[in-house]
Amino acid sequence: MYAPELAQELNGHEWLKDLRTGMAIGAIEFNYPSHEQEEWRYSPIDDLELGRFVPAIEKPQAIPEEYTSQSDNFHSILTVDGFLFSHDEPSTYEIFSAADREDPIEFASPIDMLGSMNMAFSPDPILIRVPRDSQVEKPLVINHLCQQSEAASFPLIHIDIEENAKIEIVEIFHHSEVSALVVPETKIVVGNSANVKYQQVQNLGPNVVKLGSLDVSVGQQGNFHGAIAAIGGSYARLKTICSLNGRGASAKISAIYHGDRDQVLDFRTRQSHMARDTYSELLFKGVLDDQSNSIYTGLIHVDNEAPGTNAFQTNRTLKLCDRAWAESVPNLEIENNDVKCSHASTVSPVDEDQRFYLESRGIPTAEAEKLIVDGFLQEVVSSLPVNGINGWIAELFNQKLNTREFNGG
Amino acid sequence: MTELEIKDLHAQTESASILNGVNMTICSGEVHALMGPNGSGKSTLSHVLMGRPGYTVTRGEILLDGEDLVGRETWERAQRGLFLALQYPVEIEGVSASMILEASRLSQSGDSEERLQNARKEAEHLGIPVEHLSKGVNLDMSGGEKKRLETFQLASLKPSIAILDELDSGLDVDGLRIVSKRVEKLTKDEGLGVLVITHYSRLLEELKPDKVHVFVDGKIVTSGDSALADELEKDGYEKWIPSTETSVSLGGLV
Repeated sequence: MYAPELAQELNGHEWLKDLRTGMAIGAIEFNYPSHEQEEWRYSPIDDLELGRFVPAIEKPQAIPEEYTSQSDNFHSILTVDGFLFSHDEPSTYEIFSAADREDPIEFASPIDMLGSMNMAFSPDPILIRVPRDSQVEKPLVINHLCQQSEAASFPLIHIDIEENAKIEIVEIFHHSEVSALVVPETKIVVGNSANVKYQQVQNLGPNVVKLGSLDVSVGQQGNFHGAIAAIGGSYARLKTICSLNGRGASAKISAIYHGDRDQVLDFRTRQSHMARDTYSELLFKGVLDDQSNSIYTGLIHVDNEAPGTNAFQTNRTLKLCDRAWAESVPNLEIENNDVKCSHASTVSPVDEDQRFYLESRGIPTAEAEKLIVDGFLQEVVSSLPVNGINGWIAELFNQKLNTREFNGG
Repeated sequence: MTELEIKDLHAQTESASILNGVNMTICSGEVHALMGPNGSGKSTLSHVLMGRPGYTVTRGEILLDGEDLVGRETWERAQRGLFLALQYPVEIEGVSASMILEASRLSQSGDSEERLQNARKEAEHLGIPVEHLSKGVNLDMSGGEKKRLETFQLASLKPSIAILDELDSGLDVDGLRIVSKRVEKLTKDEGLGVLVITHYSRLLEELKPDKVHVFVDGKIVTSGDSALADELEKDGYEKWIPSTETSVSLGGLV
């Protein structure tokens, strides 16, 4: 999609420049995303004109002050248009940009065009290593900012949590007024008996297209508890793959989302059970207003080598407006008989009986609906993984709902 | 002193006429019982009074202290002092009875701590476990627990007129006694006016009605004192129901 020569302009030692060129060329060999492919089905990908964005190749010089402040309550990393802008250097984990390394680093091969492009055009592939047995006491907050207009940015973060280590990670895509494309790839490797809590907050501006990927693998007896809160973007997509690779590995993944105007929020999930006695539980709940759309397609895959699997998948969507539209497609692919799996999906308007009940207690219509929506999302909100940030997430959703009342529904 | 005056109330759904001229006046402190066979329109009357969407009032008035409620939203009627305890209380995940009380404009007196204390006392009085106030309203509750929670909301919101649609269904004997004692106390202490819809005189033995109305085919066919309830308990509604032949021919005319 973008000229390989552009990738050459990014900083890095020879090995990385070679890798980027290879990736930029390799990207062409993958299928260009199209709604005809199953994983892009229902999406407006054909209308997005991704070619109008230009990869960000110059590191921004200045950023809004609010993003420069440090806090004692958490560790922080800031990327701006995909560039690693600032980070602190705690003793409990290691962080660096591959662009600063003289010696080659091995990356897993990308599995699609976006993965390949991300690697080709990421100015700072960020690598984080949490060493064996280490406990990172404060949450690590990764802030992403899209600042340059009409730019395509490619944040790339690999986090390796080694055996028996523990960390809480928050990844935030911040609001900005620019029109931009962001293609973030976050890869999290949860080592044996490691424990990871992860929260992604997608609060992008209304003119940002996001084509994101979250790739998690969990080792033996490892535990991953992740959540996604999505309210921003024009078309915002997140493909989540969670592979339970070691015996006894477990994962809990939840999401809340609220779309309005002509937003499209697109979630693709895959729960891959590759080892015995593994557990995964997925709960995605969304609210749609105006003519917004949501897409959920999810697959539970249980490998032949994974007896004793427990896997659950639920997607529920509440429509606040007749014009809103939701696609929800759960799938199972089971190769072993000794498993317990379930999937469920519903799309429904606000229940009239519930609204009447609340109104009959003297609660005005708009407020009654707000209570119903809040209550609907509460199941997920109350069990978000990173405590310190839950209040802020609830507030973001509240603000969005209040805007609705301000508009008169 | 509050007065709910229902005058010549006619209402219909898209397909059928369901209220055919209801007249009734309920004043503060009074208990009226509305009894009638299945399908006579008792619950419908309660919904129409509360302004549930799906019904059209074609004639008549619902006057609360002289103000016509027809055309008012449900929540506006509630804010003016009307309350409906539903026959089938609705389950709402993530919305607790406490949240409902906080959100309702009817219970804004005192600070939040005081309101919480009052709510706890009220719940204890009605035999409601305190955790039922903070979980999704009516969720995973038995029929009797739901009815206690309806009574809890009634007592907490302090309306001036309450319509109790089969409050007795689902309640065991002890529950029925506790709930009806509480309603009776509200009529005495707070001057609550009550319209009780029920099939059974069991509730009326506890909650002695000032007036009993027999409701057939969308209207009141006769009214009397509590002795009428005893008579209905013994003889049923047969003498008030038009014979099948007649109703068929009437149906044909309509």
